[in-house]
Amino acid sequence: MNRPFFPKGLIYKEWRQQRFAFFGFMIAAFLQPVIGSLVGELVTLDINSGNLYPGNDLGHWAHAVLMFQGSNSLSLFPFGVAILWGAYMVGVERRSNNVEALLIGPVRRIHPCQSCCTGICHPSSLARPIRLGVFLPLGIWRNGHRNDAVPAAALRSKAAHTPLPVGMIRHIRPAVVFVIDSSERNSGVFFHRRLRSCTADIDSASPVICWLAERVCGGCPSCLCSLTLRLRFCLVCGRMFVRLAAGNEQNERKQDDRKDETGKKHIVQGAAKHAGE
Amino acid sequence: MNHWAVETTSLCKQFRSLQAVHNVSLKVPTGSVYGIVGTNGAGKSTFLNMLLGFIRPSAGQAFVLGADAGSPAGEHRQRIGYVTDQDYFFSAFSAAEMLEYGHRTYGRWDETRCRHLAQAFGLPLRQNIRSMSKGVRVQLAFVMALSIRPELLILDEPMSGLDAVVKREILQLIMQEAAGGATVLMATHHLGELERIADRVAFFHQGRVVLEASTEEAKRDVRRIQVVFANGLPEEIRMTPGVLRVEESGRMHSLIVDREPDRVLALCRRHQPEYLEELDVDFEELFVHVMHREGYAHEQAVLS
Repeated sequence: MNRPFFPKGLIYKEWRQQRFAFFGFMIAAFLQPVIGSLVGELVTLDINSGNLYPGNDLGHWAHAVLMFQGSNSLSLFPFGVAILWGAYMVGVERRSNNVEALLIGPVRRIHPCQSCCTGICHPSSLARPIRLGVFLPLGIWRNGHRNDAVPAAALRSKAAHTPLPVGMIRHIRPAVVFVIDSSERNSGVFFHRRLRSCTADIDSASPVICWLAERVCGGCPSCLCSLTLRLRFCLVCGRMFVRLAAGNEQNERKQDDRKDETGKKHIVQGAAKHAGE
Repeated sequence: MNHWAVETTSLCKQFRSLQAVHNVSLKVPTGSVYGIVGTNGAGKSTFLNMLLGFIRPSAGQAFVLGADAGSPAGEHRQRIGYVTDQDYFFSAFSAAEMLEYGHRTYGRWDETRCRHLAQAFGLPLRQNIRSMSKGVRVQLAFVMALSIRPELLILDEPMSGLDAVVKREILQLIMQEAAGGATVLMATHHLGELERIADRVAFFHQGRVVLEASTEEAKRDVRRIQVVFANGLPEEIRMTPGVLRVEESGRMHSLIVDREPDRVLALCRRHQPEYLEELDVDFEELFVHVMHREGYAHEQAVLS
């Protein structure tokens, strides 16, 4: 059966079930600048001075919010919120009768790994349908699931960091693949080839969500072209994916330095204004 | 079209040390109403779950509508309606949302029929499913299952929690579906209803099929002989091999006979009865008899 790219029923179900959580988590993610400044303000507050509420208004904190220009909604905190939201979604999916309601429908199922479980895909059993594949070329799969497709010798080598999850993804055929690479271990070519062999195996309808260093992945991780729209749509293979690009370390460090400097300037300016008033 | 809507070959399911289903080979003819009956824990639901692909068999094969029951693609599930007494609905959904989900998921969805059935049952569409009574939830499951115009309707204890009026309506709907060419596979403890609609039955006990026959064939094995004697039931008849049980109701004695009823009838005639009649047993009697034959002594254990 050709699985539609957007299974209407499932999208409708997720929307009806998750819409409030979605907005909640989105607002939480957008509140990063406010929360960050508030936490920063509390941490730097001099409790012993006895002057906890200077000016008897929120002006002090408002200054802090204005001065906290370094934060934005694409930093680590929203990423954590997104992960939490994902975990929440998976948790909701595991609720009693939810999986059964899905299973009685004509949705495509993913067979669990037969080599490491009894092959039961019923929710009451230990092995549950795997809906999420995580591609972590960090070696954490080393002691994970057994995979016959990967030779034992390869598992012990450094190069095994990538082929093992490739084998895993091939095996579990996940609905969504998270590609996360925060390490500097993989050379670009090596990583690209492995990633291509991995994603080529996945059903073309599976969306690929990427978290990659900017310089490692310039474009679509599936066909490795660079013809991608900013809104995560590959013009060559037509696959949708989300690319959360992080800059390389040096750039980030420079940006951080710049933020620190501007932050300091604002603090000095703010303090001068305050003194003037 | 396949001759068999469901075909299983040596189907087994082992849950750790428990053999839930053992070597079950069944063929359900297309267009028939097939009943599955068994004691509690006999493996009926496990068997149906394997047909639906919820559980993978430990051994054996199951084909449903010509496709492997465990096939991950799920195309054949477009043609299967499933109703169970468990409320398999998405949490926090209203009835209307659930029906909308069905509409968007099933290619064969018949919206007109769905609306008609929902109206006929008087479903509270805006009400949250969690706050519905069990009976209403079963009705909703029926509306969903019948709206896809199923080729195979799998029913697992569908009548539990339903009032007599709704039960009758649903039985009529099931019979309509069967008359329209759909196959109905129904596991139930309500033997009276099953007797009315089933073409064939399979009795499950401890994961095995102990009897598989058409309803007429199954009933032919066991007979009820009602007899009235002027001086009570002769001991010779009571002790005749094949007489399973004797029930007394006033002067009338009912003999449940499972072997050679003709011989018992001849014996009764020899003692010149005032009244003699041979009857079919009902399904419940038949079921109890078969379970006793298989050594299911639950009734005696409770009564003692």
